[in-house]
Parts: sequence; structure tokens; C-alpha cells
Amino acid sequence: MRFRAARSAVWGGLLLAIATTPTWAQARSPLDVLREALRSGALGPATVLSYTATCEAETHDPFSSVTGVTGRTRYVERVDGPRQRRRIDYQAPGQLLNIVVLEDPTSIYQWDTQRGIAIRQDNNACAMLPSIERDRLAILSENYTASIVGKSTVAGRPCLIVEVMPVRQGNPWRRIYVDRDKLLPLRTENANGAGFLTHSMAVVDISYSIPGDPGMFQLPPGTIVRDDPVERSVALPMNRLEEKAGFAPIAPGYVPAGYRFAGGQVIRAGDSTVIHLMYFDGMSTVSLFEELVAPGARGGGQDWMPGEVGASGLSWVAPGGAVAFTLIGDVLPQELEKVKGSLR
Amino acid sequence: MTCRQARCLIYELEDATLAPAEIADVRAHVAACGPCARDLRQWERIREGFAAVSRPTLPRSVVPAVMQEAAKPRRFGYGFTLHPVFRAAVVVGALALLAGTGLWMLPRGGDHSGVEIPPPLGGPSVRQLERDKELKVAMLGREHALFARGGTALDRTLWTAAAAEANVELLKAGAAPTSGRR
Repeated sequence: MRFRAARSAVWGGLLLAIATTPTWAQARSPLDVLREALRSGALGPATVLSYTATCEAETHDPFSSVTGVTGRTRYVERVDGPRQRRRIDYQAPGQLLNIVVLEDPTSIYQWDTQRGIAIRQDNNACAMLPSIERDRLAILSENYTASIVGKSTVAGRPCLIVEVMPVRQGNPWRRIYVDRDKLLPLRTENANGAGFLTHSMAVVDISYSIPGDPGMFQLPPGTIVRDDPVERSVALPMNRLEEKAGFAPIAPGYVPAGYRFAGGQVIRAGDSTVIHLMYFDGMSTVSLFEELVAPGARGGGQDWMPGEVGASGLSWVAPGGAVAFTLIGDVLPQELEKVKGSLR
Repeated sequence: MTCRQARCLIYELEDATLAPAEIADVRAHVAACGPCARDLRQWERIREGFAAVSRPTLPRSVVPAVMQEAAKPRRFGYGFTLHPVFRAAVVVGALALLAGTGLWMLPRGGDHSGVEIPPPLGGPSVRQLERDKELKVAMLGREHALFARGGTALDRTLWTAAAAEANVELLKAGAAPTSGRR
């Protein structure tokens, strides 16, 4: 009798475990899953995950679904969550072969392992205004909806598939495969505002541990370190930029719907001073660069330039001279044209 | 021949500006180097794109102004001088963009009509000025990548790679060490 009761209790416990364990993540709202995915994928106070992941990233033709893959990168990412450190070893042939990126909350080192040289950048140099940092998830949920659309397996790990779709047409979307238990994004598929896949990343192997070598996240002794020669201010409100830059920024009268001013930076390199106005919709970014033009510079013309990771750009000198503008963003080119038109 | 040297020269392969020995060196390097071969194929694709664009006739009245602009002391982009290190970063950023994202968009721009103007003596060629302007845009692409990296964690490693590609040339450029050894 006692044995039967014990056996019933064991079965009951097992059934309860089966009923609750796989569904605890599913029981959360999609936005909760997304929130955790964003936290676990970034260095920050909430990050506690440590992992070693081998990843493959692909870029695609951002203006066609026919061309297919245009570039491929393979890298190993190691994250020490409790100590807030990250290391990325690029393995793909090409520009980044033998490059290692080491990151901690204050610095990013790009280390050329062949030459023993590293360049250091401030990790917080491009931070947004505190109000935007604080409200970024609220801004995201204003402009995008998140929904769990299915299940899959990535690198042997069961995943929930989360789709992040724009509220307004013409904005990018993301499909994220989130580890069901750890809530770490293991695969992302990113499309631009036109709906074309621009890049994707997939973890091909992962272990939620890191090797014990503490030196892995540090530059080896003897490495020559050079500071990034480009100076960047912290993110400033619009009314502080003139004082910092020596000339007044020109704010656009139009930005794509949902985008907010996320701060302005003053960038200096040698004799050049550029104001970088940053706009953010919770997912995507638009940059407007402004620079005084030397007397006699010709105005008028414009150039379209492709940007990294599917972003597009537009550069021109204001008619009559005075200011050179460059717009870069992962939004539709028509939207950039509207921003340009509002800068007269 | 290094990849860096080859990538500087592949853009001139079709321009009849290289010596036969240089052409042979570039061809030999490209035959043995996958990334450079890919760059060359993309450049050829870009050239085909240019060839497909109709060439508007440049009004004669514009030529003196263009020549005057081109004859000015070497300046960067819109007319400001450029710090050498900044310039090196721009070069790499642009090459990375050229290689990675398809410069075939360029024919859509108003300034890329393919008009050929001979370079003036003692000054940079019009093509050089054009290239400088393209490079500056690419440099700003790096700044955008750094900003976007702080956007959402979902794209972080991708934007990190984009910014890192632009940084590679800074390491090669030989900027004076400012932080010493670690």
C-alpha cells in the first residue's frame, strides 16, 4: 500500500514536471521571451549566461531575393556573463581572419593576432541618451509586435521561434530562434523594410560553459595597444551639441514613423568635426551626419552608398554649401529621401 | 604581392593604367586568392552596371568649374582636410563595402554618370575626388555600425563585425601607439 502511494507520488511528480517544464517559457508572453532574449544576448547587468558558441553569419543581397548569399563569416563567441566579458574569434577568410574582438563593459579591443597589435575603443562611446536606454523595450513594443510562431531545433537545442514584425509597413522584421530553456537567441533572420532577407546568423554549436583560462578575455602581454584616433562624445541632447561641436546641428523636420531622437555625438578626427544625430525605433537605427563644408565646396550632387548589414545611405552637400550631410539607415531609401527633403 | 596591394590594383585592371608586369602580378595573385578573386568579380559586375547606364552629356559650361575644383589643393570629400589615420580607416571601410555589399547601387546616384574628365596637372583627378567622397561615406558607415551595435542585442555580433572590418586598416596604417603595451 505504502509502495503504491509512493509510486503514485513519483508519477504525479513526473507528470507535473513534464507538464510544467517545457511550457514555462511558452507560458510567458512573446514580449517577455523577447525581453529575456535581448538581455541574454547583450553584456549588461542582467546578463548571467556564460557560453561558447560557434556561429555562422551570412549576408544577402538586400535588394533581391534571387541573388542569395553574398558573404559568409564564421566566428566563435565566448561570453563570461558574471564577469561581463566577451571574446569573438573570427575564423572566416577575408578581412577579419585572425582578428579577435575582446569586450568588457568599458572597452572593446580589436586584436590582430598575427601582428600583435590591438586597437581600443570605448565600449560606451555610442550609448544613447539615458531616457532612450531606459525605455528601449517600451519603444520596441510601440513599433513592433512579437509573437511566438513555432518551435524548432538549433544546434541541438529546442527553440521557440519569435517573430518581431513592424507595426508600420516599410520597416525591418526579425525572426529569432530563442533557446527554450536559456532564452538565448541561437538563430536570427533579419529582413529589411522591403522584406528582403539581409543577413542571418545561426549558432552551429553551443555549450553553456567557457573554458577556465581567465586570460582568454585579456590581451596577451606585449600586445601593442593603440587608441582609436576618432574621438566621440557621449550621447548629448540636441541643445548641447552646438557648444560641443562649434556649430549648430540641423535637425530634420521628418524622421520615419516610430523613430526617436536617441542622442547626438560629436565626432572628431584630426581637423574634422562631425555631428552624428542618432535615431532609434527600438530595433533599427538611422544616422544623420553633419559637417561644415569648407568655403568654395561645390554643392548639389548626391551619392547613394550601400551600408553594412543591409543599411543604405545617402550623401549630399546642401545647395549653397555650408553643410555636408550623410544619412545611413536600414529603412527604405524612400524614407531617407523624405528625411533629406526635410533638411532644407 | 599582398592582398592589400592587389585590391588597390584590381580596380585599374581594365583601365589600361597598369604596366604589363603589374597586370601579370595582379592576375597571378587573384588566381591564387579567393577573397581577391571575389573582389575582382564584384568589381567586374559593378563595371558592367556602369556600362549599362546611359551617359548624359556634360554641359560644356560645367567643365571649367569642375576643373577648377579638381585643381585645388588635395582635400577630402566635400572640401575639408582629413587626418591621415581617419583617411586610412575610410579606405578600408570603403573597400569592405565594395567587396561586401554590392556597389551596383552607385549608378543610381546623380554624380556617377561615367563622365570622363582628364585629370589636371598638379592636382587630384576627378575620379580621385569622387573616390574620396565615397570613402568618407564609408567611414561614416563605421560610425553608424558602432551606433547600431548598441541598438538591440539581436544584431550585435553582426554590427560588431561590420565595424571591425572598417577598423582593420587602422591596425595596418601604423598609427602611433598611444596606450603602450599590455
